[in-house]
Amino acid sequence: MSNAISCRDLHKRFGDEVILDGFSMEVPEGSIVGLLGPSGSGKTTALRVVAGFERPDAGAVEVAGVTVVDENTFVPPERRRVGMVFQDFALFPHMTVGANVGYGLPKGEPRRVAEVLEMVGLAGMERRLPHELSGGEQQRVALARALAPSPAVILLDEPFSNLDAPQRDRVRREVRNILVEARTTTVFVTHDQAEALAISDVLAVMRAGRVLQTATPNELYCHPTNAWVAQFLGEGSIVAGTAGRGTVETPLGRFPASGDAVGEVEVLIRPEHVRITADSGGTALVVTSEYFGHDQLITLHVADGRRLLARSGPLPLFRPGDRVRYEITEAVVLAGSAA
Amino acid sequence: MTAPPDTAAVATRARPTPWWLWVAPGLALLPALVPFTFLMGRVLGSGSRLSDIVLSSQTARLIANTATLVVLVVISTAVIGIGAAWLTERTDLRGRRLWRVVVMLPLVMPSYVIALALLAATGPRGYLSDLAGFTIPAVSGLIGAWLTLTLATYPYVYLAASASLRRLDSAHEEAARGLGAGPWRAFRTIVLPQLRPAVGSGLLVVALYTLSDFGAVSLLRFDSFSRVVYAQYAGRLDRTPAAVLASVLVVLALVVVWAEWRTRGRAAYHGRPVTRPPRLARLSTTGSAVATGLLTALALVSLVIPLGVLVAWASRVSGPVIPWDAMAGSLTAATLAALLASALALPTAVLIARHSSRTTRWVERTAYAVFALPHVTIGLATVFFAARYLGGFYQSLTVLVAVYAAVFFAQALGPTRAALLQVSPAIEEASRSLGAGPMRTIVRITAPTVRRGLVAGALLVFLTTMKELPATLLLRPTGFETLAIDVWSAADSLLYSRAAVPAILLLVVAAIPTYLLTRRET
Repeated sequence: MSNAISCRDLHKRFGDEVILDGFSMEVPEGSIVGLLGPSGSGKTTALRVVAGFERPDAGAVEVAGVTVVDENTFVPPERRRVGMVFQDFALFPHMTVGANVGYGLPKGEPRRVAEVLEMVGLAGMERRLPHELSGGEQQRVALARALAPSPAVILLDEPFSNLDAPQRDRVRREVRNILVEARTTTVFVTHDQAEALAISDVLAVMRAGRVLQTATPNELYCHPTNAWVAQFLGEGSIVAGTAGRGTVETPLGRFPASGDAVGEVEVLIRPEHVRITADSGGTALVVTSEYFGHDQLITLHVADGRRLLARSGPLPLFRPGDRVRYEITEAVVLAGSAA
Repeated sequence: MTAPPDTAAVATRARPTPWWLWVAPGLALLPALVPFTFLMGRVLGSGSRLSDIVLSSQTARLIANTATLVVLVVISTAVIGIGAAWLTERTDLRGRRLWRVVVMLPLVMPSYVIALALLAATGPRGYLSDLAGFTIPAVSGLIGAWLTLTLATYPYVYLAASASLRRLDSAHEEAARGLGAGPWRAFRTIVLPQLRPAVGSGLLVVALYTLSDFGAVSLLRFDSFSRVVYAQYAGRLDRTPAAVLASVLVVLALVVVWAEWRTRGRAAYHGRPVTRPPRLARLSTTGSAVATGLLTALALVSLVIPLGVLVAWASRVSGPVIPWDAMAGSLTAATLAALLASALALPTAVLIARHSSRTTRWVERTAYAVFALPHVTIGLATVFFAARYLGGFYQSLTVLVAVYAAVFFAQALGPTRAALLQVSPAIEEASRSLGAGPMRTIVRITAPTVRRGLVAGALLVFLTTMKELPATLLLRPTGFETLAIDVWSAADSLLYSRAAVPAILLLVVAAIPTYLLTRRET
């Protein structure tokens, strides 16, 4: 399978601020890739470099095997075959839905316009104006407009952040289905972990202008390579330990651990792998507890001032000050931490 | 957490700028800049004559005259403009909606039309003297110029102050009242300082207008700079004194701009979107009567009397003498200038708003600097430059329109740029990623989305071109008549009835764009 996008060692700074610092990413054809990172990590800039709205200071980008930017090349955005869906949708306010969708097609091709509108579930809406549509409908028009010219890839910049929370989950599912049906390679940027885990085939986690780890959502959650990725995607406690043959020795005890590294390592303990039982003679003390309905997230004070996060079912209820016993059922050795 | 809007901050930075975007501001501003530079070179090259003229007692007297007039007009327009704004925006004065319109109307009146009305009303031949049965002393000289320019320019201060009062959060005022300040102290210590930036820029317009006003001071025979520069040019073969004095006038304009900049202060005042209407001050019965009286007097002096006098004089004309040629000339020149300035303002606004850099900020500043240049100076500079390099080609409609578009370019640029800044740059990027090049994007996406700004800019240029006098006088092709020229030349020859007809026509034509502009504001 070839790559629809390939970014190699991109660098970009604005004034003194380094935005991209060795950003590399491969996007396989036909996949949906999420680019996840905190605000200011450079994810939007990376997307804009691929689209051609920013020129990198160094590095190269290929789209569908064609170099669109490197030291000697700069293909302007209109000739890159890259479709973009903007955070605020950026529908042309003075044009009808049909004119918006047909904008990227030679002579507006009404049949193709009808076809993509049908695909996004807005058949027959050609004559409407953007401001007459709901947020979710505008989102789908923006998607249809980007899909219409059959671009090599579609980029979505924080696509769901402008929608209300109740709408968001539904629109997210719809958009994913449309993208899968259209078999378009897609990259979308988000800072929302749950969103990223839910809709991507592959996730790239970014921090400070570079990609730290690229993997499937499940792989990322279960086997993060470093402490920052581990804590960015879900909760967990990190402790130092010594790994060897499927177990790890830590100040919190010895327990089973996955991962190939041996020797001095960092170990991630997810809260769902900490089992707690109320016990007035227990060694751990409940410091805080957050109640979510389907479960509770509990911060424990364990030996020598360490804190440990644990997850427990809705009952029994734990309160600050309760004494508990805990058992760590498994842990993850962070591969990137091995000396 | 909502999404971090880092797109907007990133969007204006570091994008490839198509070279042809630079052509538009060049075409727009060079017709003013090139002759101006030539004039400055010529003046600086005139050696000892430069210092002789600059240091002469006549120049000192001119500076004193002009400065006195500017200071008087600034003070009186500040009082009238802020006072009227407060009455119509922040009190429960009856009929304040109507007053808001009435108070703005003199914006239509060019200074020389007010001056004409003043001359035609007072003195031995004055209409009001006839009416009164005795001779009301002629109002001319400094007093006349002061009165005329105050009436012609206070709406600029009013507009700035009322817009700013409307945006002002009344919570500040209420906080001050809650801390024990009386209404006057709250106004003086809380409201007034917050009005300062807006009122300051309004007063800057007033000062520059007064400084470079030609029509009123020449009709009222007050020796301020513009009048003497023109007289020197028209009356003497030796052009050096006119050139030198025109340059000194530019220095005075710079001093005014510098003074406004120095007093602007450093505090940042952010008008928040006001969600609830400000609490209106209650006027007592007496206060209400006094306020209504003052505003009525203002309307009488600035509108009713001038218009009445003009109509009275016009009715003395025997037979219909509508100056069709002048009408056509005014409309042609103003329309062409408005179209040219707007057409060049669109790509320039794209350059400034979407490709912001140190250089583009200089482009914008230059546009405003050219706007602040006295028109007498620009006109003279063009005459000198053309006489030297263009073989007298300057007396053509092309040059006249190009100069209008250059000096009024900032008026077309301002609203267009403001409209563009309200449009997300993502719209243009969407167009680009859908396969449209930069040129097609400007025509099909940018222009329609900023059309309100473009139209507002075009209307402003049309309006000011209609009223413009000194540059027109200097640069018009032989036989080319405009309403402004007609009014001025007839009034200058004391032919008040012949001046009244084009003056009324001018007001009627100028009222149309003004009406359209104010309707957009509200």
